[in-house]
Amino acid sequence: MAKENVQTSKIQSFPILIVEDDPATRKMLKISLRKAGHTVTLAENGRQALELYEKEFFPIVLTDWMMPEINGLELCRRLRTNDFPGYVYIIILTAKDSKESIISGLDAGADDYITKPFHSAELQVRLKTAIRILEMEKDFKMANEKIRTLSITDPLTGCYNRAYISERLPKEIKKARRYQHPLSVVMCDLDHFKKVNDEYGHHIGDCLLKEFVNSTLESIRDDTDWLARYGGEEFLIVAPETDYRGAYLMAERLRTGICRESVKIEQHQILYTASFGISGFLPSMKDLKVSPEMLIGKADEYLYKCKQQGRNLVIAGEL
Amino acid sequence: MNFKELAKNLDLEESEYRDLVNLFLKTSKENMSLLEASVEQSNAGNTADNAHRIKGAALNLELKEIGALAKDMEGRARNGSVGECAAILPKLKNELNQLVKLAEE
Repeated sequence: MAKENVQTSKIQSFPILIVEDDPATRKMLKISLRKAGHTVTLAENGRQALELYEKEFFPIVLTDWMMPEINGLELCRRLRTNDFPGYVYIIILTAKDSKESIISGLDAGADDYITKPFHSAELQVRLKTAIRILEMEKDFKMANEKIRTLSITDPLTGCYNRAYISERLPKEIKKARRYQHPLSVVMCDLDHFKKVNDEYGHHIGDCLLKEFVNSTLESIRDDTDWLARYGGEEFLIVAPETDYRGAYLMAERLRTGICRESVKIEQHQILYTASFGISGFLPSMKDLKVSPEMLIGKADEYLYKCKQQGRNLVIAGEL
Repeated sequence: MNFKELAKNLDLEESEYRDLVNLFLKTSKENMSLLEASVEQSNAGNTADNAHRIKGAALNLELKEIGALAKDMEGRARNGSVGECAAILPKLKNELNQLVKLAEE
């Protein structure tokens, strides 16, 4: 029983669009497929099918060949040129059974071909194949998304990593320049972090880095700002639509929040501080050729000044 | 022709099958008019297409005689022998009339 339920839900997650101009065949297909548990929508020809696709996505299409307005072959071609959220598995159902017809159908982009009169059991197994392939595509997509997430995530802290900075920061700069909006980067460094590792061990050091990331993520804007681990105990906050003065206020809030009270990690109560160097792009600098290296380099310079001036400090300035 | 038997072959209830036959007959009326006109005009392309339409729907419903006659007409029209289709038309009409009677029972 449980297995049947799984099968039914699998079937129902792949709705089928039936495209058939003959009313009797259309109804017969509808009855047959609904009985097998499929979710079915009907279209009378290719034009109607394409109109339905504008409102809804159908991962499986069962189409007749000879139809008025837009025939099955043309429908296949048009579906293949569209950018849908997933793969569309197309089965041509037709009374044309010559080798040439089958080749033309598959060449137009169909995945499978069933000749009329169709046999209900044959249709069901062909649909099973379609679902199997679509399931594989879904798994493949999910795996790809997982790999993509892993490739841009710092495994220890869960924030973005250096690779993400290389990928995203040039885009942020381009966007800021094009629309003449401000953009700031904040280089953060946990002061005397080596001492934490030496005193409490690397495990506690790792936990402190996670603490810092959590505090920072609470302080920055969810929808626009982002945080990445630059390396070791250095992090980069990128704040679009924010000039360096605005970024200064944000960093200062973060700095005071961190140094105000100690954090409890396992049995240890640890008081730590951080320093922040900020540089920013302003709309008035539209003619300046800004690179990620320039922005980060300048923020790093200000961070260095913080270190020279005793740490637990925020220093911001123009590029 | 036994509707109960045909329905069973297609995994359908007899009532479902009867509905489909009635739908087929309704569509065939229009398709037959088009077929007759295309045969009369000796239009091979249209004759083949109109016969093809009747053939597909008939064979799906296991209406073998109607399907076979429509298939024959389609084949002859595609081979350019549209003139030979005129002789098949009455047979096809007759089969359809018999089906109408059966559906009315």
